[in-house]
Amino acid sequence: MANEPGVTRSSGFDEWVTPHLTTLRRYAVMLDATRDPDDLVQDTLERAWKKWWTYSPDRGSARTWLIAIAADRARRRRVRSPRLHLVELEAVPTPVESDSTDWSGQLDVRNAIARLPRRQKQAVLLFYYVDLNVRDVAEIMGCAPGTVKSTMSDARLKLAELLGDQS
Amino acid sequence: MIDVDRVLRVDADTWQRAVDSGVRGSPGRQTHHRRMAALVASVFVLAAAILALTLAVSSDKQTAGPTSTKVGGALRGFTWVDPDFRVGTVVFGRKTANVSDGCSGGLRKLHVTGRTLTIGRLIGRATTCAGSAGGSTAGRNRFDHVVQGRLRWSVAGRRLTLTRPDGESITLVRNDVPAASIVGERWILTRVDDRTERKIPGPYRGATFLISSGRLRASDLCNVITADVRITATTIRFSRTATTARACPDLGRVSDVIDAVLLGEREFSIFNGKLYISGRSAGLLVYVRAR
Repeated sequence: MANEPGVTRSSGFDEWVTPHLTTLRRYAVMLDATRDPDDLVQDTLERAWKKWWTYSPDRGSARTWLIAIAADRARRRRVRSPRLHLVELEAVPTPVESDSTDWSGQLDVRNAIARLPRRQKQAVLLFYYVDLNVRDVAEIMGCAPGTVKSTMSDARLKLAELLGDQS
Repeated sequence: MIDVDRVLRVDADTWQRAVDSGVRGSPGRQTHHRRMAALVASVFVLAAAILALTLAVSSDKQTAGPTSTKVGGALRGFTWVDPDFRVGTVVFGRKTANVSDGCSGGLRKLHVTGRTLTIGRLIGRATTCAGSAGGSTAGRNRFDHVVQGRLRWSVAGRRLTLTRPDGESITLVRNDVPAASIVGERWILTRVDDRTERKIPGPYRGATFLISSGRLRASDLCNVITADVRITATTIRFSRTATTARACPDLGRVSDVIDAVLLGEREFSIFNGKLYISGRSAGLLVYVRAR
């Protein structure tokens, strides 16, 4: 059932959207890191607020609905500013850690992910980096959860191969 | 064999920490930021501890309300809404309270002594509603009956309880958006979306918005709009009183959208310091605070 448009709409929106802000920002950084991901989040929230009364849980989770809006806003920005392009994870600097278990950097994981086929890369980024669950990833990718699992399994095999070459 | 799942989780965790902390600079700068954040956090913890200690010492057994005789941060600047009918509202100032039952209301004199406050005579313009008012007559009558005169008050979380001497009480819920953040400030138009939800290009020079003493004074780029306003938890009702009728150059759709949105009951919200006023099919106006 869609949200009832009425006096409680705005007051409830903050509480409704807050749990998803972290995920939304991660996704925005992934999409729009060279520009201003916070601006993209803001733009997404504006749009979501205006359209909130049309949201229905029957059509998917709130998180995927917000991410779909963010993807749409990012796409519109790219149309308006052709210089912008999808940036990958390298655009976000990684803190230097002295943690001895953090050996992933030595294997250049990001470079290996960049070499994956598009669907595999998308699944890995959404599942591991944006931290979505398999069902949400499936909704965004427009496929069944089982397909996401098999895509990620293929991706992990490919990554093992790529990282094995590096080590 | 490399455990790819673990590699990805470790790398993703590192990346997420960098993103979530909003760090965008070099690693050296990030370390500096982290140190500063730790320092600031320490100061806050210390301040919070001192504050908690002070409150513990000064509070008595009845802990529902602050002991200050002033209407401080606990009440002032927020819109308190009657949750049963969602039409009755009270906005506390320093010495005034803007009380509305959803239909009639106005600015009233406020006097606070300890846990007792007195909502006195009307000192501002009285407002009445044009057309049908929200909520029920019984709800408005009850609100009017309780929210007046000498009352005991207590705040627990987001709830304000006002109790008459005869024991009848009403509990109001605090709106998360402080009304004071809208009222009394000049806002400048930064974005206009038309009814098809497309942005109408600016500049919107001179389009301002100011609510003061229950009245709106706004510009649609050429003419000045004045209206009586009544603010509830999520809506502003504009009851247009006058608009100048200057001969304006063709200002396109911007003026039309402003005129349409600033009329009737509209929803509003504030994100990141921007004021959004939604006119649904009439369009959307986005304002920022004037510096």
